[in-house]
Amino acid sequence: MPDKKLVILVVEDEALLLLAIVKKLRVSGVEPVSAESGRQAIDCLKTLPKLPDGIWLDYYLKDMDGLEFMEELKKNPVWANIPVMVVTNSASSEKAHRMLTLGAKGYMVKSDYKLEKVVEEMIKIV
Amino acid sequence: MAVGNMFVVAVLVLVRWRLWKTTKQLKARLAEAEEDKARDEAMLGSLGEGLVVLDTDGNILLMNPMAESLLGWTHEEVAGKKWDDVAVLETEDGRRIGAEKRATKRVLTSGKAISNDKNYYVRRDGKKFPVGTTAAPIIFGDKVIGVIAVFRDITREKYVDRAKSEFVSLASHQLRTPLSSIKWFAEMLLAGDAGQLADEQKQFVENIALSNERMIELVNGLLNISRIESGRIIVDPVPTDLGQLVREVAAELEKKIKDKNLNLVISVANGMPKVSIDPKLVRQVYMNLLTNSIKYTQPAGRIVILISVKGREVVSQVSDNGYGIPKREQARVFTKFFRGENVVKLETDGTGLGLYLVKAIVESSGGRIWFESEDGKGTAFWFTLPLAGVAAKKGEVTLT
Repeated sequence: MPDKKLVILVVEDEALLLLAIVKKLRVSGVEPVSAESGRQAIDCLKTLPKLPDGIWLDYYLKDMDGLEFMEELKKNPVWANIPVMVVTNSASSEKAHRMLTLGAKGYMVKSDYKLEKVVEEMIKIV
Repeated sequence: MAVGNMFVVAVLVLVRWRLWKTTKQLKARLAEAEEDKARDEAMLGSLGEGLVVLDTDGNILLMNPMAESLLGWTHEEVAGKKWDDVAVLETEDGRRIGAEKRATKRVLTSGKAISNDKNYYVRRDGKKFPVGTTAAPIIFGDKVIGVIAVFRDITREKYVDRAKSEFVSLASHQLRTPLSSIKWFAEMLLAGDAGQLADEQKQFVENIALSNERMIELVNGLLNISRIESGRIIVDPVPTDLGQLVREVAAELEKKIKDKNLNLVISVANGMPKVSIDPKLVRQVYMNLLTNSIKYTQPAGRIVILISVKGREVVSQVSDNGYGIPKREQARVFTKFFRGENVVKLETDGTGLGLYLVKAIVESSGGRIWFESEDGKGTAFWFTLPLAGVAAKKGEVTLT
């Protein structure tokens, strides 16, 4: 039987948070692919045999921010269709608004939600 | 003959004496006037702010030493010249502001003082500095005869302001990151994602999670306060049904209300119009007041929320028959980190920031807040919002 597990690309530069997210996704039956920077995530998209079903995106990354990452995604029409959930610690409603305008499907503040809830929302949008 | 001569001499002496006296008085007055002028000049010279006086055409009449030093021109060099050409005013991105748009011109028509701290002066040597100015018309009799303006270099204030904003943003991101990590790992341990925990282990992890939630609440509270204090809060008023807003808040707190078996009554006056307020901000007010009533009322107690119109205001009342606030502590209720002595032991959860924030929001929305309370009997809070609504404000941040 072909592997029907959802694949989520997790872009998060905080090692411990990435560890937690990857673990929770696995426990929830989702296959995580992790990237610790925006550039690494873009490379993943280029090299993965199959595109991920969704992207879990931290807003502040070491090499770029969420807006720049979304711009990168838009450069490739195939990538532009991958649903993106922004999971960040920045609670600015302006940022949230801009990300949603750019096509993000959701915007969640990390410390406000249980990991289980974020995973649940992530699965909903893909 | 001799008598006649003596008379003439006496008259001459008298006249001379009067002349001498008058001259002496005149000299004294002149000296006084000179002293007054010197004193005025010394005062203007010692003034720590730049000062300039213009005629109604915008020509420079007077400039004090601080103005000379800030701009790099001496009074002699620029007396009679146009102020607009001497102290070139630019926006942050370097666009010159025309004479018509400058405060020194606008006060002539408005007749009122105008303050501004958004622009930059260009010095004689071409260097720029951010300037805080207040210009006012000089009114003599009932005519405007000129303009007086004071200004200062606000480089330091701008720097401090920016540093504060950067700190808030940094704190928001940096403090929340480890808190999120603790939150998520504790959650996974409790969910058994790393194997089942023994009862005591579970209890310990629950304690960690609970303390962490308090820390998150504290960080959010402090960030909100720093935002509202910095005046950078966005106020985005929309016509709002306050009854619906309060019911939504109550629905969010339903579990806590049920857990304590509290009786909550919400009553909104008939025909209550929609009020143009920022629902995100006012929601925080209802949320904090109702949460306090829930926390500080014994099980099976009663909480009442009333919303009515009185004159030009909408009055909201949130009252309970709970523990109350002791008389001696009532003066400190709205101060940061205040927590009632009688409740800290009963309810460990709480930051002491809620009512401080509530007061700041109500007052920045043009309303008032007050309360009555009796130890052991209960507390009632009232706050008003202008029926005419709140003005929009373009800020940079929102509350979380």
